Order: sequence, then structure tokens, then C-alpha cells
Amino acid sequence: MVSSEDDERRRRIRRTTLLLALIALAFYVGFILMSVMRGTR
Amino acid sequence: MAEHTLAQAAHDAHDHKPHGWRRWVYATNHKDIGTMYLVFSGIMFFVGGSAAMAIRAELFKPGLQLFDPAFFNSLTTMHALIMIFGAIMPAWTGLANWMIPMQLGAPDMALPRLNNFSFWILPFAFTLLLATFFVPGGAPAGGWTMYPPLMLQSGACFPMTIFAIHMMGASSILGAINVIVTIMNLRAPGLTLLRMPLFVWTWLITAYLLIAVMPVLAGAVTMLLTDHFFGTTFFTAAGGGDPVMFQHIFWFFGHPEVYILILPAFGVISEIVPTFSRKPLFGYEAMVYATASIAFLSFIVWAHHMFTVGMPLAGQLFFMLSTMLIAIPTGVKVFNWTATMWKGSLSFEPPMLFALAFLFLFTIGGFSGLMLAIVPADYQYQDTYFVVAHFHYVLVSGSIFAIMAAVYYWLPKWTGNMYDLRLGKWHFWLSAIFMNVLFFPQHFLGLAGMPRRIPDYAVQFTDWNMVSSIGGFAFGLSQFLFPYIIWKCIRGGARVGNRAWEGAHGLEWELPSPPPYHTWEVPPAEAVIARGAEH
Repeated sequence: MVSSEDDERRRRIRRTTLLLALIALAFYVGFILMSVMRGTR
Repeated sequence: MAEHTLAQAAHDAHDHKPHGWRRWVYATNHKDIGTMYLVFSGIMFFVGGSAAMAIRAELFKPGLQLFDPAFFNSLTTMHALIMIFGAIMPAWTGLANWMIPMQLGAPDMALPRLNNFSFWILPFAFTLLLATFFVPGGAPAGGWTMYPPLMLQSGACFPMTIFAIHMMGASSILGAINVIVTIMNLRAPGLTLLRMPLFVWTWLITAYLLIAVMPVLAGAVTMLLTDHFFGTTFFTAAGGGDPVMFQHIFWFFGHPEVYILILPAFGVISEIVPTFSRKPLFGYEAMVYATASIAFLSFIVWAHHMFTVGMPLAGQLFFMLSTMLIAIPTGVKVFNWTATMWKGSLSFEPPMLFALAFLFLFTIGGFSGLMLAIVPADYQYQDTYFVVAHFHYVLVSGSIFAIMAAVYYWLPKWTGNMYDLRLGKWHFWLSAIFMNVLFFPQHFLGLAGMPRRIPDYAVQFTDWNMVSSIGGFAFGLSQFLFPYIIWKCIRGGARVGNRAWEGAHGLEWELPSPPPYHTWEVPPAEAVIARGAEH
């Protein structure tokens, strides 16, 4: 039996995880893009 | 509490703990994964340490004794990579796995399967990295900083090293995500952020640092990879690229990395000093804000590693002054630990001894860091043994002593047994004395101009190198006491109660010693939290 509180917590965990993974990905891609842009200047 | 204990006991009665290899390979329990991280870190500590012993053996006297210069460079490079990514970082993650859920009143980490994956990436990464010793051209030899163009001239080890670093980075990022998600979502009801133990706080901030900078390292080495194999010229001057840009990107990762290695140590010391002073921590909130300030400042100081590379005067001034600013929040911390001990009822068990050594010796490392931050002085110190002495004071008597302090602090909780305190004190005194014999003379060598990363040196550096090597061998040998003490403690010893140390506070001390396989399945009551959160 999963209470709605547990359900909400699961959703929150999923959302935070995805957000943090996206931030990490943004740093990775961002620094590579920055270097590309600098190279094409 | 009684209700919790009853509920726990009822649960333990049908506590299906997996057995055999499945328990470890498919582990999702935070304590099992924490143990695996700590064991892995211990193995890597001895592997990296044996590289250090080999380095000190070669440097015992001038001339080439044991190794050819290329292999010597591989030893220094691998020593650094193994110690940073294989020993210290996994040790902190192991301690985080063990302690954060117990300190938060949470049943486990928020993402147990991801936790398993984060750990199991590491043995593959390090097998790959260590395998480079056996490929044509040998292991990477360009330093842990992997600067191009030198790194791009590596042999077969190059792609293996890059892949290993990507794997270590992925493991760290996933671990950091797990820590943040756990802290933000699984705290016991009523355990607000400013009631959390300092170890949890420092780890939360460390995890944000990890998420911000490990992808930057991954980006830098990805670009190295494409320069080597796919014809790009990010860092190749011949193609219009800029090797100095790699240094900027690397140190944008590298400096916060130093704080990734040391911030959890601040948390551990903030747990231990109040316990053995039998007083609440002085200035809890100031400690939290100081940690956050150090983390913020760590992003704006990176170019102090590159003063001699050349940069505008305004840049030099900015990075010099921003670096010096770090002394303020660090000073707040040292002051608060000292004030915690002031008029306390001190006792000197091994965790407190290591914490006190941390306080003195890390501060020495901090002071030599301030010396290095001064631009004109740095021109003199750059790439000398003074730098080697500085960062070993920060990382050995800082991070590693704090890890040992943490293990000695929580080992009775993990095993339910008190370890041999006399042997623990022996371990401490041998480590503290020989750590100084090993690294203090390196300040003199550096100030006299001995360059780092060389297998041979001018004869005037002989005496202090011999002293340093003797200290190194003695320090290395004395470390065998550590696994022996732990092993002996696991096998038996005087039983301890929930609160293994008289002055200890925190939710972990409300649990039985050893804690059951599953803990806090019923969140702690407010009264328990209040008792635990007396900072």
C-alpha cells in the first residue's frame, strides 16, 4: 500500500535527480561548446 | 524511542539479508555499499602508497637508482590519480553512504540502485587505469593535470586513461546526485536543514561542487581525446588551438576538487571535536556559512595555479586576492574548533588525536597555501618541492587524517565493538611524527630550489631527501596498523552501547551498535531528533 505522501516523495526524488543530472550535463556540454566558440572566433 | 525500537525489532525478525557474493554485487543497502567504498579506498590507499614508497626510494639519494625517468614520471602521475580519485574520494563517499542516512533518520539512500552502479563503476575504472602500466609506452607520465601537448604525446595509455577518468567522473557525479537527493528528500520529519549534523552539511555542499566541476573535467578530457584521435585542435597550437585554455579548464575543475577532498573533513572534525570536548560545537551556523563561502570562493581562484603561465596584472591581482579571501572562512572554522575545545572536558582517544593533528597540520598547509597565493613569491615556489610539501600537508594531514579520525570515531558504531585504543594511539603517533618527517623537509628543499617531478637532483638536496625518504618509509609501514586495528575490531572487542563515546550526539548514536541491517524504517520521533540535534 503506497500512500500519496510516499508517491509525492517518489516524484520529488525523480524530479530532483533529473534536474541535477541535467545541470551536470549542461556543465559538460557548456564547457565543450565554449571551447568550440572560442576556436571559431 | 521505545516505539521505534519495538518496530525495529519486529522488522529485524524478518530482516532478509542477502548472503554470499550476491549481497555485494547486487548491494542496495547503504551500509554494504559504504563498506565496499571504504574497502576499495583502503586498497587504493595501499596501491597509491606503494607508488609513493617507490618514489621516495628513488629520491633517497641523487642519481638514478631504481627506475628510468619515464617510469618515475608514471609513478608520480599514477600516485596522484590513485590517491585523489581512488583513495580519498571513495573514502568520503563510503563514509557518506554509511553515515548520512543514519544521521538523517532515513532508511537508506534515495536511489539505492544508482548507488550500486556508482560504486561498481570504480573497480572497472581503476583496473583500466592500472592496466596502463602493462601497455606499450607505459602508464601516463604527464602528471595528474594531463596538460597538453605532453599528454597528447602519450602512448597506448592515453585512451585508457581518458576512459578511466570518464568512468571515475560518472561515478562521482552519480554519487553526488544521490547524496543531494537523499538530503533534500529523506530527512526525518522535523529535521530541518539547520539542525543537520555538520558532516551532512559539508557533504551536501561537496556534492554540489562535484556536480558542477566533474563534468568540466570530463569535458576537458573529451576535448583531449578528440584532439588526439579526431583531428580537432582545441589545445593544439599548430591548428590554432590554445594549450593554456586546457589549463584554465582543468583548474576550474581542479581547485574546487581540492575542496571536494577537504570539505567533508571539516564536517568530520566538527563532529569529533565537540564529542571529545563534551561541549556543543561553537558557532554551528557560522560553520555552515563558512563552508558555503569556501565552496563559492573555490570557483573564482583557479588561475592561482597558473601564475607563471602568464596573465594580465589585473588577473594576477584578482586571483591572488580571491585566494587570500579563503583564509577568512577557514579561519572562522579553525577559531570555532578551538573555541569548542576551550574549557571543555577534553579526552584524547584516537579520533580526537587525529582531529587535533588535523587542526595543527592542516593549518600549516593553509599557511603555505597563502604563501603560494602571493604572485611574486609564487614565481619562486612554482614547480618546486615547496608546492609538494604544501599540498601533502593539506591532503595527508588534512583529508587522510580526517578519514582516519572518522573511521576511528564511527568504527565502534559500525561493529558494536571497541577497537584496541592503545594500538590506535600508536597508529596516531607514528603517523603524525613520520608524516612531518616525510613532508616538512620538503619545504626546505623547495625553498632551496629543488624542482618537483624529477627522478634525480643536485647533490646539495641529498640530506633532506634522505630524511624525507626515511620519514616516508616509516609513515608507509605504520599504516599497516590501520587495517590490522579494523580487522581486530571486526572480529571482537569490548562491546559498546548505542552511544559509543560519552559525549557523542547525533541520530546515529540513538541506534544500536552495530546498527541493524535496515535502520530508521520508522522515522525517529521529535524527542529523539531534538536529543540528536544538540550541536
